[in-house]
Amino acid sequence: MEAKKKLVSIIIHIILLACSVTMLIPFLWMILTAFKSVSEATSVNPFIILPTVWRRDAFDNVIKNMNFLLLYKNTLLMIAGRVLAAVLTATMAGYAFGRLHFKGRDLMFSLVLFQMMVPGQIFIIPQYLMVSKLGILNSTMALVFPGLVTAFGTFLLRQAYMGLPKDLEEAARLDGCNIGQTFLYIMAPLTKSSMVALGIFTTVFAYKDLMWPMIVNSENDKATLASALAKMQGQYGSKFPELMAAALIACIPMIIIYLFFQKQFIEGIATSGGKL
Amino acid sequence: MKAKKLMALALAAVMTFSVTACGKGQDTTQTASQESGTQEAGTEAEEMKGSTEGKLTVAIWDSNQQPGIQEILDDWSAQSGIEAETQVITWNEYWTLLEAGASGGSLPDVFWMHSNQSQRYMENGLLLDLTDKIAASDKIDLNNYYEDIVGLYESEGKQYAIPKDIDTIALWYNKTMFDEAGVEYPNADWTWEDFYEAAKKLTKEDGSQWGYAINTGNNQDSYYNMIYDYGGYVISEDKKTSGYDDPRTIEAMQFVERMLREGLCPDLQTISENGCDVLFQSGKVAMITQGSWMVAGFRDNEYTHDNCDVAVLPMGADGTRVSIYNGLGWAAAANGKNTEAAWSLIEYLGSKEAQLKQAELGVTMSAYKGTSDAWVNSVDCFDLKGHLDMLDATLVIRPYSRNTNVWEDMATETFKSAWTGEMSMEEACKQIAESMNTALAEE
Repeated sequence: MEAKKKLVSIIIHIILLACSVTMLIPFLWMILTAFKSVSEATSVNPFIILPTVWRRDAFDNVIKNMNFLLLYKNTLLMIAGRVLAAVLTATMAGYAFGRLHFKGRDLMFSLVLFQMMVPGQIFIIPQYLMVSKLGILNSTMALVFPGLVTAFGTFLLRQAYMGLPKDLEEAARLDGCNIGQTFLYIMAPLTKSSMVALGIFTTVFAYKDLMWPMIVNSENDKATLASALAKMQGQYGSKFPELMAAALIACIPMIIIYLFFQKQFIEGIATSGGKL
Repeated sequence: MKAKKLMALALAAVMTFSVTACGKGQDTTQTASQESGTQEAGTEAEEMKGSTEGKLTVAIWDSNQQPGIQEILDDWSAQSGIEAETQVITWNEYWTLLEAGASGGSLPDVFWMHSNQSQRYMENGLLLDLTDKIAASDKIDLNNYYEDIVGLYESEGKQYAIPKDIDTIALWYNKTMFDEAGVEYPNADWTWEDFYEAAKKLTKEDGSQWGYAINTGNNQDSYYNMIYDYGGYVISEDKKTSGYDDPRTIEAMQFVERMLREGLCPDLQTISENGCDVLFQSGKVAMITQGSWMVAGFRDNEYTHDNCDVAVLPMGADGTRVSIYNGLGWAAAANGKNTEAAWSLIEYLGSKEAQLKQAELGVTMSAYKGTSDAWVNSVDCFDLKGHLDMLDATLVIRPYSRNTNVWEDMATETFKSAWTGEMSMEEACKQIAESMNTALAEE
C-alpha cells in the first residue's frame, strides 16, 4: 500500500514537473534570446538553444535608447490610478447592487453586465473621443480613464456583498447606523479579500494593456512599458534580442509584485473564478 | 498575518501615489501662485506652454526609420525654431489612431500616408489640401517626383501629400551558396529562365536548401514583377477590368507554379510559418525577391550581412525588366491646430535637401528623382546598386483601384489553393479574374 502511494505521488510529480517546464519555456526563451545575436535569434533551426557567445549588447542598447525609469513611473502611475479607482467605484456600486433595494436596480445591473459581454475594443474610439475632448491626451489621467469604472469589478464585489449574512446589516441598523455607516464600518471591511483580488486583476490587466496607451499616449515620454515595447517592432523585421532584453527588464516589477502577493494572486483566482 | 500587513502597506503606498498623481496639475499652479517669483515655478510654466503650443508631432509606423527621420526633423527645427518630434506607432494601431483622430479632431500634425488608405482619407476631406501651397512654393515642384507616387495622393485634381520615398524590388542572393554550388552570381543579363536554372542547381535534394522562396503574402515583392515581365498585367489602365485571365499573366503565374511543383521553392506551409525573409536570413534559401525596405533588417543580421548581396531582378524573355513600386507620402491634418507650421515642415521634408539627406542617412530611397544615388553608400556590406538600378527599369506602380484591399485579399486567398496544388494555376487565375471583375464593377 505504501509503495503504491509513493508510485502515484511520483507520477503526479512527474506530470506537474512537465507542466511547469512547459510554462517556463517561454520565459527561458526570452532570457536566452536576449543574449543571442540577431541571426541566432531568427534561425529556423530550433536546436540552437544556447547563444554561442553570451552578449550583452542588447541590454546595453535598450538601456541606452529607452528611459526605463520614466516608463516604470508611467506604468506604475497608471496601475495605481486604475487600482484605486476600480476598488473605490466597484465597492460602492457593488454594495448598491448587492444590498440596497431601489427602483430600476436590476435593469441597471443588467446594463453593467451587458458591458462585460461585448469586446472591449469597441469602446476604444468613443473613449478616445472623450479623452480628446477633455483635453487630457498624453497624460496619466488619459491612461487611467478607461479604468475609472469597471463592470467586472462591480460584478465581483456585488457577489461578495450578496454572500454576507443579512444579520450584520440589521444589527448595524439597530445600533443606529445609517446606510453610509453600515457600508463603511460594517460591510466594506468584510469584502477586503475581494477588493484585493480586484486590485490584483486590475494591476495585471493595466500592466498588459497595449492598445489604449499606444493610442492615447502616443508621445514617447508618456508611453507605458507595454506600448514602448510594441514600438520597438519594425514594420519589416525586428531586432529580437533587443526586444527580449527590453521585455525582460519590463517584466521585473510584475515578477516582484507576484513574489509578494503570490498567495493573494492564487486566492483571487480561486474566489472569483476569473482568469488572468 | 505578515502578508496582510505587507499588502496594507502596498495599498497605502498605491493610494498616496495616485493622489499625488491626480493632484499634480493643480499643484503646479498652486505653487506658482504661492511662491511667485521662484525660478523653478517660472521655468516649469514656460515648459508647459512650449509643449502645448509649439511642438509638432510627426507620426510614423516604422521604428527602423525613426532615427533618420528625427535627424531631418531636427534640421528643420534649427531653421524654423519649431520643435518636431517623431512618434512611432505600430502599423495596426497607427490606423486605429488615425481613425480615432479623424473622428475626434486630433490627428497628429504631420504623418505618413499609404496608398492602401489614401483614397478614403482624401475623399473624406481629412487631409490638408496642399494644391495652392504647392503652387506658391519655390521648393516643391511635383514634376521632380516619380509621377505615379504623386498620383497616389491626388484626388479630383487636388494634391494631399508630398511623396516621401520610393521602393524597388531586387533579387537578394546568398553568395556562399552560389560559391558552393559553383553558380555564377546573378547579373543584369539574367532572364527568369536563367533564374530558374540557377534555382534548380541551388536546391538540395535532402530538403535542407531551396533555390528560391516566393513571398506568397506580398504580391509587390513577388509575383507581380513576374506578371509584368511576362507582358501580363493585374488591372487595366482604366481600373475597370482584371488582367488575371490574360494569357501572359497566366504564363507568368505558371512559371511560379512550376518552381513550386518541382520543389525549388519551399511549400506554402513552410513559407507562411517562417516568412521568406527569415528563411533567407537563416540560410535556408539561396534567393529571394525583396523590397528595398528590408535593407536595414538584412544589414543588422550578421548572417545576411556576411553572406548575402543584392542584384537587379531577372527580366522577361523579351528584355522587359519591371519593378513594381510604391511610395509613401507626407500628409497633414486638415483641421490641425498649426497647419502653417505643418505645411512648412512638409515643404521641407519634400525639398531636395531633405530628400537627399534621407537617402544619405540610409533611411530609404527618396521620391525626389536623382537624389537616391547617395543611398547606395549608406550600407557598406551590400552592393545596393541592385536596388538603385531597378529605378531605371520599367517602373510600374503597385496596381491599385478605389478598394484595392477587396480584390487583393481575395486573390491572395484564392492563390493559396494554387500554391498547395489543389487547383491548377490557370484555373485559379481565371477564377480570380472573374471575382475581381465583379468587385471592380461595384466600385
